[in-house]
Amino acid sequence: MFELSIASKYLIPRRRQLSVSIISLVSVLVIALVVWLILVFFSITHGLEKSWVQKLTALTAPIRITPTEAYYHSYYYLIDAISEASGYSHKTIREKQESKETDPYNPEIDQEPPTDWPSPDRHPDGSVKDLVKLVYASLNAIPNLPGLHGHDFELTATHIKLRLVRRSRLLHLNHVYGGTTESEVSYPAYLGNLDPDHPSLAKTLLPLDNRDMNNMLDLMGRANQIRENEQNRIFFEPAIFQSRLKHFFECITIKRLQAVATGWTIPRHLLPSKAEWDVCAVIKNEQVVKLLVPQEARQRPSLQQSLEEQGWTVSSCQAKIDGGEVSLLLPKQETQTASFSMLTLAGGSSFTGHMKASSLDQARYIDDVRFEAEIPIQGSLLKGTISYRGLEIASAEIHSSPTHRFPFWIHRLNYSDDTPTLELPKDPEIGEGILLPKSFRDVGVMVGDRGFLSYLSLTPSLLQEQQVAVYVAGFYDPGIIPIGGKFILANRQVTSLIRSSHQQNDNTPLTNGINVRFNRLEQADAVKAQLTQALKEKGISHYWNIETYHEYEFTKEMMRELQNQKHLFMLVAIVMIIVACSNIISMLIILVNDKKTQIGILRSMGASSQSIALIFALSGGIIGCLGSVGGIVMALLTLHNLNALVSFLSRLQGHEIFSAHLYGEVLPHELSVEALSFVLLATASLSLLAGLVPAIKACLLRPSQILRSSEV
Amino acid sequence: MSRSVSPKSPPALLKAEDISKAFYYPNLVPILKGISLHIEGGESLAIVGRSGEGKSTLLHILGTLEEPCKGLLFIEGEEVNPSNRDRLRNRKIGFIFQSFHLLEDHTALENVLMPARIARCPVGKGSAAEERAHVLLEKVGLADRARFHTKLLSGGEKQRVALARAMCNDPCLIFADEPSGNLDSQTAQIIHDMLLNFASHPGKALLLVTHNGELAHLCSRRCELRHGMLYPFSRVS
Repeated sequence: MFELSIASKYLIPRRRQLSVSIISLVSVLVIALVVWLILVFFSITHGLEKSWVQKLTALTAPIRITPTEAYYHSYYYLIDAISEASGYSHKTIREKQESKETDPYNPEIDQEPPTDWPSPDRHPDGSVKDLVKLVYASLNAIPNLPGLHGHDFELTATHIKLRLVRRSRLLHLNHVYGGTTESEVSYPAYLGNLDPDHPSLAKTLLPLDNRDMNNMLDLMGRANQIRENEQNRIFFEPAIFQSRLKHFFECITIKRLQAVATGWTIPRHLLPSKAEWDVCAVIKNEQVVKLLVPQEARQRPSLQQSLEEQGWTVSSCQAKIDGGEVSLLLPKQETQTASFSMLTLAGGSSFTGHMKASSLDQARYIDDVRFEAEIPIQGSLLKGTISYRGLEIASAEIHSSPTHRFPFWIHRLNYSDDTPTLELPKDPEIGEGILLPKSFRDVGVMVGDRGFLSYLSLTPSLLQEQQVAVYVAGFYDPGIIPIGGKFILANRQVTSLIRSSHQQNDNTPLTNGINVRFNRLEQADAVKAQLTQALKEKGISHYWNIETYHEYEFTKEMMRELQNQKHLFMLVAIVMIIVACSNIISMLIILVNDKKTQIGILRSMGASSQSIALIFALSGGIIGCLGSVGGIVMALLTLHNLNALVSFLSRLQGHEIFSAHLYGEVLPHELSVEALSFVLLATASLSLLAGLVPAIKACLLRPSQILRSSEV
Repeated sequence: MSRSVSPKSPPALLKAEDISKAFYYPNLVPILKGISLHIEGGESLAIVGRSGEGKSTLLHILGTLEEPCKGLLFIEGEEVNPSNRDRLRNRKIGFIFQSFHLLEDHTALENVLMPARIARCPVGKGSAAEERAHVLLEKVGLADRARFHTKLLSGGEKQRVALARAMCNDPCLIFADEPSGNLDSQTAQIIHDMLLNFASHPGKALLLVTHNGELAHLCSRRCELRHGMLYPFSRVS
């Protein structure tokens, strides 16, 4: 195809065609920049939208089937309240699904239904229609939908109170390892039941971190040490404590330990026979009261600064260790050979430590657990067995093998992506495990914290507050949906208990229903149509309200907003591409003027006007393609290094440029295939279109006129 | 009184009937007035005339580069129309211009091969078109310049490349517009010999426009374009 080779020759920069070369280079650059911008922007927004929708459907489902007013006024629902077989109480959807009797009414035992009640819906054979089972049957009849399953949900209101017990982070002379602070968080919240087989929910779980592990271990140990003046504390019998401790260390293996914030007293038997360390001497009433040793000598100024910020008088000096004796070299003073047998390793200093499994058998307290440690301090290596007192976990490996049981936090029983099978543990000594949205973590709650879910229960004589003991078993990220920050997930029994104790007329649509889950969200509308049709055929469609995830009351606005923004950005992107491609028009018009003689020569050799037009259209296309490829490569590089780029920009601005609360801990960095196809299609067609204007100009040129005018 | 030169016997390689052309400058100025012309195989026709008489216009019309206002044109018996004009120009006609008109950013070989590429013939290494191009370059004495960019060649070399290019698709007609106008006499002589040698073959013909009386006398026929009409050259003193 000679047109392509001529077009590429025209675009190769030449000294004699500097203006064309510069303009074509600028055109390529502008298109590359626009493509880069669009790809990066769309990939991030597409990823964010995907993750928001994923989180939204993690809390709910792609489709929800909720009972309508007609359901709650139907014979099918009302009859349980007067039937002895149903215990004279209304049934939830699950109870209805599990019930063997569609019509529990027994005219011989039960009172006659009021006359204003509707008559039951019946099949042609006269049997009563089971409204719930018919819905499940319709669901199961939908063909070719991977991952389809219906799961009933219950939602209720509750009040959560959590007690946060934390170790003090400030140096205290009387408490070697600091005191404790206590606070309470108390919020009204929604309570929903956890669907253990929900794949999207598993993806929103936040991983356990060191703070959580330390908190769990700390609370386990602290419960046994502090007994006085405490209400609602759980104390473990020694045997139970030991078994819990063993269980905990079966689930994790500590790799590194670190000194607690207030520092760790270095055991005397570990001190080297000879060493000189840079230390910070804490001085009170002109007496040295504590010697803090930084792990590295260069860390001494920052340690001194942090102590001074806590209000202590600190002096930098050297400690000389000789045969277990510590002498202090204070500036401008003579050597003190004082009884400084206690040296404290600065808080946060970490070192390797491996637990001695045998120490667990005798451990009555957490401090009885022993570790084989290797502690590097300012060039000396301290080796030996140490107790856990004054230490905490710096890094640990959580065993993911399913053979281990995880009694303390939410975990997967199955590592397949499709059916993760989550287990929200119930601790026999503490209470029910609950899953909290990450907003609780933001206010300082950690895994292991204990508290209560309270609710009001109507007894024959009064309204009484009831409590369910719970502890935090994990956190999840609810995304940006409005109720996400208050949505607690618990096991079904807890939700059912609290919901059933509420007044029975609490029949708002969202309190009970069926979540319909399947793998491909884009099929939501089709599934809804199929379900609606199936329920219509069964004559029960007026009892059920079917909504897809973009129709939920609490997400409708947000989903519409997302769609509107997407369309707006698409429009802006098209305008940007048009502007970028219009550069091609000016470049090609200059090229046509520049190549007039060559056009005449080619025509004299028999090239048709269409071929001439094609040469210039291809030139536009090549520029568009080069720009696109450049832009795609730049976008891939940017997305690959997105986190580094964002943290660099954040450092430059002095604050976080993307709020983790809104956008998640990590921005999505996968190239959006949708955006890529859009950009490729738009640039290719627009650059070809841009090439068309000069191409028409070129093919309208009269060859004889060009050749005559260029003759010498 | 206008007189047209009419051929004696068919088949004619080129037959023009009543060709007229006028331009607006801005008034209507007739350039060619009902010219009829036959060129047969083995013929070489020189058209002479003063500058501005319309020699190049006539050459471009006969070479299908320009459309006449009136008249018919046949090449090897096929009437030229918009649908076959480009194909006939590519396959049946070769052009040589005073200013050579080579593609400067291409090599000599690429220039020679261009008509074949336009005709969508395979031009890769070892192809028939490529072999023919090499033969043509050898014929014009430029076998060693095949890979040279034409901007590096001398005027004579450029015109020889142009001649090889004109013969690439084995045309039956070569139209030359002052082929030696920019060349020294020695180089001009080489080009003349080549052109006349081409026209000496049966089924081939040469039509050239020139001021060079010596060259015109070497042609088998000579015409003068005067006041928009063709006259036998012998009538001009």
